Amino acid sequence: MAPPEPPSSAPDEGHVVLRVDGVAHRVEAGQSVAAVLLAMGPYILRRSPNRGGARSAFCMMGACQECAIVIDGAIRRACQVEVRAGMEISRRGAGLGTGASKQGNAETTPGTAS
Amino acid sequence: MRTAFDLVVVGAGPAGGEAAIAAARAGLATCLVDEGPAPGGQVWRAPRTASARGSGPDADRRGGDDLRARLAASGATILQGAQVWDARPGFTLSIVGPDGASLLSAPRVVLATGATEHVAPFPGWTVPGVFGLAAATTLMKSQGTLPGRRIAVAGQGPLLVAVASKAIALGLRPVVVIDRNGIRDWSRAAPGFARDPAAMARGLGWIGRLAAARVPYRARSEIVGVDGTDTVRGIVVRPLDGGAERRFDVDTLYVGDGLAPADELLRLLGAAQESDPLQGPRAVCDADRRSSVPGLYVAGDGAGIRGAQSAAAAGRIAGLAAARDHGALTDPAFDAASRAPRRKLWRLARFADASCRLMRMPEASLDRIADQTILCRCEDVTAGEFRAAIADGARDLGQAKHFTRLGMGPCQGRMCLHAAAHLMRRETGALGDLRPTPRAPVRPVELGALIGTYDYDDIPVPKAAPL
Repeated sequence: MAPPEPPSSAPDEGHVVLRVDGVAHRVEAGQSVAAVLLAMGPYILRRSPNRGGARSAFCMMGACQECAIVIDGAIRRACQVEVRAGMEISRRGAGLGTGASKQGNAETTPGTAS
Repeated sequence: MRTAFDLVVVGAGPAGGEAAIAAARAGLATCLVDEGPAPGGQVWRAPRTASARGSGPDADRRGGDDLRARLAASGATILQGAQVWDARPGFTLSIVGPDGASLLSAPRVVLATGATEHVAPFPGWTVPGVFGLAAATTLMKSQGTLPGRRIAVAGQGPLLVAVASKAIALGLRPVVVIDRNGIRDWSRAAPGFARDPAAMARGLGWIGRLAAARVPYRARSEIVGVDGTDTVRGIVVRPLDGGAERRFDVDTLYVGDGLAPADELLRLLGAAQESDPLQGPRAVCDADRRSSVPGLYVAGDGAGIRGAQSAAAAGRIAGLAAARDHGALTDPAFDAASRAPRRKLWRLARFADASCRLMRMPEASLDRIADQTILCRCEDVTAGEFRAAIADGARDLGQAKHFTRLGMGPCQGRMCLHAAAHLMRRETGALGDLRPTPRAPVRPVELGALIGTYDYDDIPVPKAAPL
């Protein structure tokens, strides 16, 4: 599932350190948060509010909202946000537990209003 | 920042970029608003990482670099990372961007909002590891990577071949390519493609690379389903003309079935559209790109799917027409400047038709959608639940939305409404655009972002009435 190793040729200033679910990672600058998470694996980013189905990024152009997770404390589309030093990313969607911990649908809260 | 302009252009792809350049050069105070991190749109997307910049520039990169350089020199105000979430006639656009919420006003607006990819739903299309074809191009162009070890590429149209070929160039040979079209469909498209020889040469290059890498190619076939719930373990493929189903072990699937106009703002402003079998809901406009709403111009795929080169030409015409209507260009100057893009549009019409024909909504496959297949990803509404709503009397998608919540989630129906409208037309005989009434916000926006930061002292308190 995990794609090839990131290229090692990039200079140091071409990288940023951020945290994903509390764990620090050094990643290439300029990437979208979604690209970083997909490369890191597993693909799952959150669960759907009604049936608790596993979901990940899908359209990568800001339309489908499947990658909307908590970034720096707010729900953001991971495919539209570029990584930044010190960024806090949580694989958690609106109103639900983390996808990565595979917690089902126990704490369902009303879905995101549109 | 200045908020009143002569012209606001929404979308900085080929259409919006060219419109803004043409208008700004003619002297209009022009503002270009775009969601992405840099101009270029989806097709001419700018590379964002060192690895993406390191890969050799292709035609799309060159198109984007050229557009970005001319935009930077055009004098237009460019707002990146900004979403337009409401539009009112006259025009006032509500945007939310890096600097918070603001209003832009202009007597003229060019909508160049591009396209959304649609995917005909199949069992398992929501499983992590299933991505759109457009998602693959986005990742490859901006990041220079493509997730997956064993990938399959499926769907229809030029994008299918482009993604499969570009994956090979990244060292990721697809396990299988699954094409709804067959060799005969592609041959039929060849005369149209020949109208843009450079694009045709590129396409033949892609096909050549696939052949050289001996990628297994399943013509006239489609995905039956995905094996797996939290990850993709494999896919099952079936020939459209009958024959045995076959399973392929893959961990990642890229699938796309063509493009639909991203027409939310167009509909919100009440501009007329007409149904077009090839282009999707097409904006009604004159030869100078004026829509049915005075002061509102349309260009690019958002006005009907035509592709990047046609979008650039239409965008230029729209920008020039706005400048002419503003009084910044004389009629002869307008005629002279718009002659070349008009010729290009005419020359590319058959090219665009050929592409669109290969990307046409797979109606027979939609008819076969099983009841347990999820139709609305956001709200987990299945085709069976949707059909039950029709049986209960729903006759347009607004009613189906009330019955089932289909289209009510954060994507606002972008992923499901085209397929749902098709199912409803087939099952009820209903005609026309069945989509729900367009409403703001056309994108989900955070209330916090709209409110911004404020001080309680800044809130105006009316004087107390005298006792």
